[in-house]
Formats: sequence, C-alpha cells, structure tokens
Amino acid sequence: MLLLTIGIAWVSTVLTGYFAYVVSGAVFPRILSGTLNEAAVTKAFPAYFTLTIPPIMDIFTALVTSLVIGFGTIATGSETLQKAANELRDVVMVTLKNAFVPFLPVYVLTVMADLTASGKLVAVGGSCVKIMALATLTTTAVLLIQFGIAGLVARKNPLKALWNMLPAYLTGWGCCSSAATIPYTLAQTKKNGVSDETAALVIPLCSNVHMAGSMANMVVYAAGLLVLMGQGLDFASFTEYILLISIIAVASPGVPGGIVLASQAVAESALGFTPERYAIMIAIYLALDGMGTACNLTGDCALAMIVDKFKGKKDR
Amino acid sequence: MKRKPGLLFKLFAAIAIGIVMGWLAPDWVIRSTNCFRDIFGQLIKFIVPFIILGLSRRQSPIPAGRPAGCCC
Repeated sequence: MLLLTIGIAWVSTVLTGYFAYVVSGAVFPRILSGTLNEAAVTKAFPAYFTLTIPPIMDIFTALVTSLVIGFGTIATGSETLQKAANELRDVVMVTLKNAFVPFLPVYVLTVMADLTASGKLVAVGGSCVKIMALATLTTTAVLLIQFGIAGLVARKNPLKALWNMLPAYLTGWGCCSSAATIPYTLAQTKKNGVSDETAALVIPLCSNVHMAGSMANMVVYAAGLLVLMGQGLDFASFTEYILLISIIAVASPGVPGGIVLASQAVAESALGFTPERYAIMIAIYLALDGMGTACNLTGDCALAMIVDKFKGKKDR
Repeated sequence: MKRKPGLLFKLFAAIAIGIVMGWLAPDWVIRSTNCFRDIFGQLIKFIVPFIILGLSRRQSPIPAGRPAGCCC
C-alpha cells in the first residue's frame, strides 16, 4: 500500500504538470503574447561587487547522493548515517528558517527595485495578475479532476467530497504547510468515507510526496513568464522540467517556498531562465504559496479515496 | 503557524517598496542593492544541494510522529 500510494501520488503530480502545461499552452499565447520587449530595457545596473559561491555539488549529484545514502541506510540499517541524515535535516531547516526565509523579502525588494529601474517591470506588470489568475483556475480544475476520478473509482459524489474538504483547504491556505494541516485533512478525509487505517497512512505520507498543487503552480508560472519573454513552450523542455520538479518537489517540502528555491537550477537548465527572471517567479510563487499547499493537501484526500478502494478490493 | 501571514505581508510590502525605490532612487542605490541581490542569489544556489540532501524524506518513507514540515 505504501508503494501504491507513492506511485499514485507521483503519477498524479506528473499528470497535473502536463495538464498545467497544456492549459498554459492553450491560454497564455492568446492573453500574453510576448509583451515583454527586451529592447525596452533602458539601462543596466551592474553591482559594485559580487561574490561567486559555487554550490558544493549540482542538483543531480545531490539527488543521487541522497538516494544512495537513503536506500543504503535502509539496506544496511546503518544507524550512524541515519542519525547524520536526521541531524543534517535539522541543520538545513535551521539555516533556511533563520538565514534565508527572513531575507527573502529583502531579496524580492532588491530584485523589484532593479526591475523597475531598468524598465523591465512596466512590461511584466499587469501580466503577472493574468498568470496568477490562470494558476488559480488551474489548481481548482486539477482538484475537480482529481475528485472526479476519485468519485468514479470510489463511487462517491465528487462535489460533495470536495465540499467536505473545504475546512482543510482553507487551513492549508492560511498556514501554507500541509504537515501542519494533517489533523484537518485526516478528519475531513474520514468524513468522506475513507477507512481510518488508510487515511492514517495515506494522508501523512501524501503531505510529503503528493505535490500536484505546487507542480501546477510551477508550470503555469514558468510557462507564463516564458510566453512573456516571447519564447515558445517547447514540449521536450517542459517534459524535462516537469519530471525533474516532480522529484525535487518530493525532496524539498517542509519550508515555505522550498520547491521554488530548489527548482531554480532546473528552470535555468531546462527552460533557459536567467536568475533575475527566476526571481520574478520566486516572487509570484511565494505570493500564492498557500494556494499550492491547499491544492496539494486537498488532493491527498482524493488519493486516499482511490487507495482505500484498491485496498478494499484486495482484502475481499 | 503565526509567522506566515507576516512573511506574506512582508513580501507584498517588499514588492511595493522595491517598485518605488526602483522608480525614484538614484543609480548608485540600485547598484548597491544589486550587490545584495547577486550575493543572495548565489547563496540560494549554494543551499539547494543541502535542501535536497537534508530534507529528502527518502531516508524514512514512513513519516514519523514529528511534524517535520511544520515551520510557518
């Protein structure tokens, strides 16, 4: 049941990514159409000085290393490495919480100042609102589809199930953490007729591995910004982007905006983002972080309904 | 849990202040803030492998009782 849940969660996340890609591809070229004209940039403001701080390893080295150590620890039962991993996690959490998250507003401020001064903002301005609106619509549509499928599988009224999840959705909006919302998600999921046993496994697990909402947002924002830059939405590039994010999203939940920070390198390599364009993306993402979280955890309930149905069949 | 609205508010404030600053401030201010922007951008890239190594839940797929992601 563990693997089944993880599998469904991953498939759901990836399909959501493609869904968001298709929607963005259909809508953005019509409402945005390359309005960001790089030629309109009046002047550049080079920093007085800067530092180069190369990361100790690139994204893939990190992913594979964490896989090798993770599975290796399970296989050998190494307690020291397990403990080291847990302690490293605490160190990273403390660092992010104290040294990064508090400075994000300052970072956003400096980025916006540069964007305005160099005349790029005028070009982006109103389009951001359109991008955010489409992201809202997309996550809502994703939930409707997820619950539609879950309703079919579990033979329940999807709209009623979705309505039952509203308290969890709103809590997710407010506190931006699916982990903190687990109690609510759990209670509302049980109300939807999922057995206690399934809910108790699927909901906490999915709050870590099911990232459909974040994925939808990441794809819609990236696609919107690309269209703004007057670039096409290449299917192959987005496949790379979606698949990588589906992995990174699992590897980096737990911090507000953790995904958007961790995905920068992917956006740069797969989609050709520059750091300052990605800064716009960080700003948009963080502004609507709650929506992604709420969509993530509400979808967890749909997954629980499906898993419960499969499990019921096996038991019978 | 109580801190998140604060962060959100700060972000919106930062966007507003940033726009006003970029609009009114002289060049040298923007060039100075760009120092911070570049260095912090580098730091973000630097921390990413740590995020992946440190926060990966693969080490223990079954979530323990502790609310690991609860940080807002």
